[in-house]
Parts: sequence; C-alpha cells; structure tokens
Amino acid sequence: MKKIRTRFLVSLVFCVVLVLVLSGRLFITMPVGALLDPFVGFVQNENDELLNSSAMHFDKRSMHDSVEVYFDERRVPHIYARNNEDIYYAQGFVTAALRLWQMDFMSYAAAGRLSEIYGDRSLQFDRNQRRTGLPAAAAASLAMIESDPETVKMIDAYTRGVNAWIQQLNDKSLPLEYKIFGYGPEPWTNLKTVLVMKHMAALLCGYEEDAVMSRMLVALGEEKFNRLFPDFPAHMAAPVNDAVSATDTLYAYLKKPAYLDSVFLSMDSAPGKSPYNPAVGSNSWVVSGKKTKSGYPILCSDPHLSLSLPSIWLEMQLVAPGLNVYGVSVPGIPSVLIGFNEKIAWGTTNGADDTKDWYKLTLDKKNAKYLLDGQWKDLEKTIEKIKIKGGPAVYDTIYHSVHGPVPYDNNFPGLNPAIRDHALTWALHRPSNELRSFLLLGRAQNYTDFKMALRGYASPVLNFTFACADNDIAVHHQGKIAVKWQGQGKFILDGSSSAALYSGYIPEDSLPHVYNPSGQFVIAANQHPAGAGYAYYNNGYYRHTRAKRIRQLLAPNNRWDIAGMQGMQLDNFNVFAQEAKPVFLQAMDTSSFTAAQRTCYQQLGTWSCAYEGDETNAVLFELWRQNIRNFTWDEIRNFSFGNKLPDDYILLDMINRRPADDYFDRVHTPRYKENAAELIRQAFDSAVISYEGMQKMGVRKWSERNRINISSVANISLFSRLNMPSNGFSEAINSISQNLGPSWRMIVELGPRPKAVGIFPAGQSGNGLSRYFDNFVDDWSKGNYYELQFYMTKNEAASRSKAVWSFQ
Amino acid sequence: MRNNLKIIGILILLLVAVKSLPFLPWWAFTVFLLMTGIVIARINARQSCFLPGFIAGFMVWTGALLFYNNTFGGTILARTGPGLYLIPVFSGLAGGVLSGLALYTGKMSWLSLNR
Repeated sequence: MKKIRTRFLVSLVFCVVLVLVLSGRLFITMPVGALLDPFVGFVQNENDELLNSSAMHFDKRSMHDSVEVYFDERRVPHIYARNNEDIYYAQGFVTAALRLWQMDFMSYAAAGRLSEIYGDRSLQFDRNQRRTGLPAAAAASLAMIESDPETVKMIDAYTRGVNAWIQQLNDKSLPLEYKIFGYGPEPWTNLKTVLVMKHMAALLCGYEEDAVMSRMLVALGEEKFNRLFPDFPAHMAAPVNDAVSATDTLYAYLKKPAYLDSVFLSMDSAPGKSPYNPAVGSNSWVVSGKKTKSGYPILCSDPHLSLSLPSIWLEMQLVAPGLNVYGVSVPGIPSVLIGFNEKIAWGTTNGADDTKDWYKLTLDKKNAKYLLDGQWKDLEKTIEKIKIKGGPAVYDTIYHSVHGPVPYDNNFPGLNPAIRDHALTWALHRPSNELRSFLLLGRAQNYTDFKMALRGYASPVLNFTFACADNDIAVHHQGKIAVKWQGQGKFILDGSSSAALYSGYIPEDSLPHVYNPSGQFVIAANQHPAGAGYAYYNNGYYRHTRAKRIRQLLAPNNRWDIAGMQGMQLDNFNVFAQEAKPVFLQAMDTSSFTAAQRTCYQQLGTWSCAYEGDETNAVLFELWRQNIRNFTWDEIRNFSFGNKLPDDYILLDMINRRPADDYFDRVHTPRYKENAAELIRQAFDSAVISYEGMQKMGVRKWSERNRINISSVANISLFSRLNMPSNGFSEAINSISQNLGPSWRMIVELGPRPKAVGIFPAGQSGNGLSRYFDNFVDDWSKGNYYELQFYMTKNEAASRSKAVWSFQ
Repeated sequence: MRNNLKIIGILILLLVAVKSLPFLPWWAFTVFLLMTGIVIARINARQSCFLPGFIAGFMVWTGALLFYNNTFGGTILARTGPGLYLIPVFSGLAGGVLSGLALYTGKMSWLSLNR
C-alpha cells in the first residue's frame, strides 16, 4: 500500500516537474516541450500556405472598403485599397503577417523594455535606452503626429491593421521567436510605431565622439589638432550642394574653447566606445536624362546598414486613390521610405551631421543642483519603471537639466565614465513628424511636391535624392539643424553657460541643396553637405572616398542605363588606393628586397586597386596601409583615449609634403628618427610577413579576409548567415565589410513606365522556417538584381500573382 | 499482448483527438491521459501503463512531426543537417515520456485509493 502511494506521489511529482521544465518554467527558460510538440511547436511554423494560397480571405473589420493584396513570385505584396486609410491598415496587417516578431522586438528595444523578455541581463541596455531619452522622444513625437489630421489617420489605421493580424493568431501560428522565448505579442499601439521610428533614427544619428575629440584637442594643442583633424580637409569630396568652394584649400580653423582644458575634462577617464557605428552611411546618386540612353533620369540608392535576417527592409507596392508607390518600408512604420511612383523616384542617405552634444554640468555637493550663468538651478527628476521577467521591477531616477537629461551619473555610470554628469542634447529628443514627409513623398508628382513633402522634416538629418520623369533632378540635405558657432558641438560644451544653448535652427530654404545642376548629376554619399564657405557651421562624420569614386564614374559617361548603374553599385574600386599606392611604392627604398618582397612589390605595382573577391593584392595592400597608419600615429594610439586616428588622406598628404615630420618617427625606437620612406618600408616588410603567414593559414584572396555576417535579429545562429566570403570594401561604392553593407540596392529609370531593379540580402518573410526567409541572400552576394514588379493596373498584379489575400 | 496493442491504439486516437482541441495548453493531454490511466486501472489493475503510454506518445509525436514536416515542405532539414534525425527522436521522447508518466500516474492514483 505504502509502496503504491509512494510510487503514485513520485510519478505525479515527476510529471509535474517535467511539464514545468518542458514549458520553460523550471531549470531552463526555453519551452522545449512546446517547441517540439508537433501540433503547436516549431514544425507548424514551416507552414507557408498563407504565402502560397491563391484565395485567402480575411474579414475587412474596421476597414471602410474591400482590399486585395497580390503577392508576386518573390512574395512582394502589391496592396490595392479603395481609400487612403484602408491602405495603411492593410500595410499594417500584411507587415505583421510577414514580420510581427521583428517589429515588436524593435519597439521593445527602443522603449528599453527588453528586460520584460530576457530578464535582468538586459537591464543595463534598458537603463541606457531610458536614460538617453529614446522612449521619451517617442512619446513627444507621438503627440505631434497625432495632432496632424493626416498622419493621425495613417498611424491609427496601421495600428488597427497590425492588431487585426495579432488577434487572429493562435498557438500554432504564433511566430517562432515567441515560441522560443516563451512570450506572446502585446497589442500594437501608435506609440510602438513611433518607437520603431526613433530606433531607426538613433541608428543614423546616434554616433558622436565629443569626448574623444575634446581630449585630442587638449593633448595635441590647437595647431596640430587642426592639421590632423580638419573640418574641411584639402582632399574632401565635392559636397552635396556641389559648391565651388569645396576645392578651397582654406579650411576653417577651429580655436580651442577657453574652458576646454585638462581640468575641465578629467583626462584620466577614458571615453568608452560608442555603441553606434559611424560607418552607417549610404550611397545615392541621380543622373538626368541628358546623360542616359533613354533620355530619362536614373536614380540609384543603396543604404548601408547592419545586415540582418530578417532585413530591416520589406518590399511592397501601395496603391490607393492618388497613390501608386513601390519601394521598401520598415516593419513598424507605415508608408514607403525609399522608392518610386509613376512620376518620381527618391532615395535617402545619412546626412552624417553631428546632432548629439554633451554639456558638462557643474553640480553642487548633493548633486541636486547645477550651475547656470552663476545661478543654482534644480535638476528635475523623472522616474522610470523597468519591468523584469522573473523578478521585481526596477525604478531608475533620471535627472534633467535645461540642456537635456543626464544619462550617466553615480547611479548609472554606463560604459562611458568620461561623460558622467554631462547633459545630453540630441536632435532625436525634439518632437518631429517624419510620417508626414513619407506620406507626401509617395504621392509626389514633381519637384514642387517633393519640396512640400520635405517641409518640416526634422530628424534624422538625411540627404534626399530626387528624380522626376519631367527630367528634374535634385538633392536636399534636410533636417532641423541647429545654428552653431564655429566648432560648437565638436567638443564637450560648458553646461554652466547658457551661451552654449542653441540659438535657433537653419532656415529650411538655406539648407544645402542642388536642383538641376549643370553637370546633370547629383551625389549623396555621406560627404560634406556644404563647403567651408557655407553660412552655417556644420560638423559631422563625413566620408570622401565613395563620393569621389561616384563622381569619377558619373562625370565622363553620357550613355547610362540600368545595367551600367548596376556595375557602378557593385564597383569595388578604392579611390584612396589609387592615389596612395604609387606614393607608397615610390617612397620606399627598394634595395635589399628579399625575393618574397620583390614579388609582392611587383604584384602591387600592377594591381588595379579593386577589392574583388579573388584579388590577393587587396589583402596585402590593406595590411600595408594599416601598418603605415598604425606606425605613423603610434603617439596618438598611446593616448588612453586614442582610438581615433586622422584620416588616411591626411597621412598621404604628410608623406607627400612633410616626409621628415615627427610623426614618422616611431615611438619604440627612441634613439633613431625614422622618416616617411623608412617607416613605409618597415610597414611593408611587416605586411609581407603577415601576408605570408595568412597564406599559410589558407587566407589568400580578399573574399577570404572580407567575411561578412548577416546576423539573425533574434541572435539565433541557425537563422544567421555567418562568415560569408565577400568582395567589396568599406570605402568602395560596394561598401561591404563585417556586418555592414548595402542593405537595399535600388536602381530606377523613370519614363512612361518606370523600370526598376533591386535586391536586399534576406527575404520577404521574417519566419526562419519559411522558404522566403533568406532566398535573396545568394543572389545579393553574387551581385545579381531582381526586376521590381511595378504594376500600373490591378489586372497586371492579379495576373502575375502567386498568392492573393482579399479583405471583404 | 493484444490488450497492450488495443490500448496503444486507443491512446493514439485519444492523443490526436485531444491535440486537435483548441484553447488548451500544449500539455493538456497529460491530464486526459491521467484520467485514462484511472479508467484503465479500474478495469484491469494489473495492466501495465507506462510502456503503452510511452509508445503511443512517441509514435504520435514523432509521426506527427514527420507528417507536418513533409506536408509543409521541410525547411528545417536544410538548416540543421544531422539534427534532422535527432529532432524527431527528441520530440518522440518528450511526448512519450510525458504520456507514459501521465498514464502511469493515473493508474497509481486509482490504485493508491482503492487497494
């Protein structure tokens, strides 16, 4: 009897414990049992029937009228609505069907709520998000968006569409990541849409280096700093606004602010590395009909972002009265962000302006007040509640000054002790209504409409390129940009003075822009928006090499077509190598070369300067260039904050004009002073040794060195494509490196019927087990393009469709 | 022997039926199996329960997994490589062990109250 009872109790306990473990509630967090369950688990996510069904019906619910969605063979949805509200509802529904987890996840990340999903290991991240003001920025912008009668309808409809999809989910059809992490989707809200918008904006305008540059200025002194880190270097590419003053060698000399010294900066605390990537840039260029075979303009746009699976982009076509637009959208944001319609095309690149400034505060002993113009002002407080999965909520107090929030203090040092007790002014914090601009861009029919769409566009600062079938082309550097004095924002500012507050914003009509230039082309590749002669000061993270190469290719050719533009987007040529290679080769003393060195030297001499996949010289050249760079700037690298080095063009200039400069003297040989020639030779010798070592390890070609990762958003390696060999180079037009690259490649030729090609390295579906998850990756990797199916009538859409959804 | 086979057959049908009911959590079948275990013990106190339960659960889970995988096009194969064979086995084990345990617990609960 007792034996039976114990057996019963033991087996009951076993049963309960096993159910708990397999549900992810005991010992492990992943609900393995639910996942393996064939009736509701992962195998159900292999079901692609929604994207293959020729007659899927959904209730139209709160939509005013019926809607049809036609999926073409790549499962790009072509959405046909009968009014301008339903179109955004349908966009929300279809986007959620394809990418719900991704957009939900982005909204949690932006809101600093990842701890609700992952527990306290995400606490640092969440605190950082709240303290740097992202969720507060979203709330402020939401109020502005909802007060605009057009955008409120758009955002409301989108939210209802997403929720309609969420409401029809069941245990089987729940997206895989929810099953793996053991939670479910919460209802979508307008706020979540704006959070995703701010998440995108932060990626583009989050980078800054104020703390590093301030220390650099103090350590180097004014004169050297201006020589090594000029705002307008002699080698800069022609700016976006194509101003003649770009070629001025007179650069704007920055004076060191009086307050900026080692006492002000507490030089012993080294700045941490920014979580944002300065290389997040893009290319876009337009040629007018005078330079094309067809006589119509061609617009190209390839934004460079972190590559992920699923992609940040989702292709679609939206059709409604007065609207027929094709392009890429971001899951979570209504409208198309880069694309074209029957009359116009537009692209965007990062403006790369510095819109994030730090103000050092002078605090009282209790850290409750700060000094402003001699008066003590109270720091205001807000309290953030951070919910944690599997634990009690955490409350975080954030202090605010007139300059903005103080993200890092004694309660939260963050990863950057150098900016503790500094207030943050960030363009992202100011309320803005980007939705209005994108709503209008899709409907624009000419340059006037384009300008109207950009009116009031605030953040993040972007270069908008434009082409119209009427043969107008343009580029506008657009955003709400603060009027700054010379050097303002490049260094840490003195928060105890109200003189450091922004006095106003650059008037929209004065923003850098070009319309129908005589050269018949415009270029936006993160180069300077304007030259040194521009009325307003700007500084930023501008790049030169890609813009130079684009100009090099565009200027002489007057017979462009789509195929030619494809070749251009895939161009692996490094203009810097073109200029530097002969200088490096000639500078060195070539006597007493070993056989290996002579071979390398001769090979390099014949190298085309292109970073093709099977090119071995690119590997060698990069090793050499890195060595020259590291050896020359070894003094700077020895600074505790020295992770920022002068641009390679500065180095090239120095080799040409000042070969006996002190910087060429290597630090580790105190008794001998090297000159440029000797340093270059030493760098070469070291590079050849490394190169031989690499060859022995099997790395010969550039693609073996330039391996890229397309990481799963959920960080699941099963759904990532890792270590893919690739051609391309960060400074080439085909800007591929590590995990960054052309996240979308688009070429549009306007005309009576626009023709377009495009591709992104992922797939339309965000479901890791769908056959449409990563089916574009291989083609993208090979440099192939897909013809974009832009339909002008519903019949075309219907006749080419592989799946049809109707809402009635 | 024939009894065992009959029981396995009934359990398979029962499992598939329970799993097709909506709104129930994935582990709800254990409750149904527990009740079935009580019924079995009532009819024949000596009927072994864990093994038939395990076999039925294993067959249903592995069979259903392979069935759905094939019907839906089976992309998991392309990704996991050798895991392809392990996954149905693990799935079967999970379903089998839970089914066997639940049935056994049911039988034991009846016996502990009525012996």
